Amino acid sequence: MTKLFRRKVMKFIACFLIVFASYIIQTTPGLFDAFGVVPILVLPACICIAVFEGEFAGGLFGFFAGLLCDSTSETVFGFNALIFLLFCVLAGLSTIYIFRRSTMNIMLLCLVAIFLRSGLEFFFAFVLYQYENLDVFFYTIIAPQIVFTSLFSLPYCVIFRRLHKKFEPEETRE
Amino acid sequence: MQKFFKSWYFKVLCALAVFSVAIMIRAASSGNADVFLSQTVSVISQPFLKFSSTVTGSVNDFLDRFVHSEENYLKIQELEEKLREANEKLIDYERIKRENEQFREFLQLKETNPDYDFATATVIGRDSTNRFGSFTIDKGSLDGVQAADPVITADGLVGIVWEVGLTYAHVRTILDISVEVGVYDTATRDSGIISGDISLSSLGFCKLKYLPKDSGISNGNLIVTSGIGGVFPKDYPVGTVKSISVDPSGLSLIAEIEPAADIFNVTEVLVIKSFNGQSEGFSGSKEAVLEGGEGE
Repeated sequence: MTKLFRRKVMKFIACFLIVFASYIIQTTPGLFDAFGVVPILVLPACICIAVFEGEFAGGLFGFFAGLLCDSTSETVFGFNALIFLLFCVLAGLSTIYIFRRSTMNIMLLCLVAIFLRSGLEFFFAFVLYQYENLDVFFYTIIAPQIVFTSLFSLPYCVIFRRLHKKFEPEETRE
Repeated sequence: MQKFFKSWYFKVLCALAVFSVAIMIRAASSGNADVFLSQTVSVISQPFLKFSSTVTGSVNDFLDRFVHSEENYLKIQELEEKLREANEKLIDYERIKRENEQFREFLQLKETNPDYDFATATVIGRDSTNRFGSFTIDKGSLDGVQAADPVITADGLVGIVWEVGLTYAHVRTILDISVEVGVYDTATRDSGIISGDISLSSLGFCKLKYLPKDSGISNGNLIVTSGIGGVFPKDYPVGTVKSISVDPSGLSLIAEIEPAADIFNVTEVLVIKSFNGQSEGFSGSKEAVLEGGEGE
C-alpha cells in the first residue's frame, strides 16, 4: 500500500466518521434542538466533502448520508439519497468549473442545497396535498430549519478544509 | 466538463441515481419498511442511535441535577456537611423515585386494563425533518410490535406505530395530519375525530373535528377514544378541550385539544400489542388505519 493511498483511505475514514457522527447528532432527541428546530447536519457536511474532495467522493458520501436520513425520515425511502447525491455532484462540479473554493461560496452552496431539499420536500409532502396554513408552516418551521442548518456550513467548511490540507500529499502542500 | 461526462465516475454516479429512483418506486409502492436497504441501514444505525440517545439522556439528567443542586446549595449553605451529603443522596433518590413512579404508573395501567398486552419501549430517535413529533422506538417485529399498534403513556394516547422493522418502529403521533382517531367527549358523549393540524402542531395541540353544531362541549372537557374501528382501545384518555369554534363550513364545531401525553418530550412509551375489541380481521397495515374508519 503506497503512502498516498494510505493517506486517502485515512482521509475518507475521517470523512465517514464525521458524516456518521453528524447523522447521530441530528437524530438524537433533544441534542441539537433549538426551539423545536433541528438542523440537517449531514447535508452541509456532504457538500463540503464534494467541494474539497471532488464530485465523485461527494456524490458517494451524499448518497450514503441520504440513505441514513431516509432510514429515519418519513419521506419516500431513496428521496434524500437521490437529492443529496445530485446536490453533492453539482456542488463538486461547480467548484471545479464555476466557483472558487472560498468559504463564502461554500456557505452559499450549502444554503442553496438545503433550501432546495426542504423546498422539494415541502412541495411534495405538503403543497401537493393543499393543507391549510402552509405559509405559516413554511415561515415558522421550514425557514428556521434552513437558516439553522446553513449556520453549520461554516464549521463544516473549516473542518473539511483542514482535513483536506492535512491529508494532502506532502509534495503538493504550499 | 466533457471529461467528467466521459469518465467512469459519471457512470457510477448515474447508476446510483437510477438505483435511488428504483428504491423510491419500490418504497412508494410497498412502504419504506419493506425496502431491504431501509431495514439494513436502520439495523446498522440503530445501536448507535440508542447509545447516543442514552448518553444524551444521561447528560441532560446530569445537567438538570446540577441546576437543582445549585439551587439547593443556596438554600442549604448554612447547614452542616452531613446534611449536604444527605441532599446529594436525595437527588439520586428523587431520580430513582421518578423512575419507580413511572413503572408504577405502567403497572397500574396494566392492572386497570388487564386485556392490554404491552411492550415498553424507549424513544431512540426523532426525525429532524418531521414537524409532528414522530419518533423511532427500540422495539420492532421481533418484540411482537406490528404496524398500527397504538402507542401510549400512562398519561394518554401518543400515536400509532406506522412502520415496523425487526428491532425498531416508526411512530406517528396524534399531532400528525395523517393520523385520525375516533373520540368522544366524556361530558356530553358527543363524538368526533381528532387529527393533527399544521398550525396547531407546533404548539403541541391537535384538532377535534365533526362535533355536532348543537354540542354542549366546553373547555376543560376530557376527550377519550371511542374504540370504533378497533384500532385504538376504548375509553383511553386523549386530551382536554382548550378552545371551541365553529367550522368554516358552519355545519359543525371544531375544538383545539391539548394532548394528555407530553408528545414532544416523551422518552418512554408503551406499545399496546393487543387489547379487547381490537379489530379481528385487521390486517395491521397503516393503510387499514386510514381506510378502516377508525374515526367514523
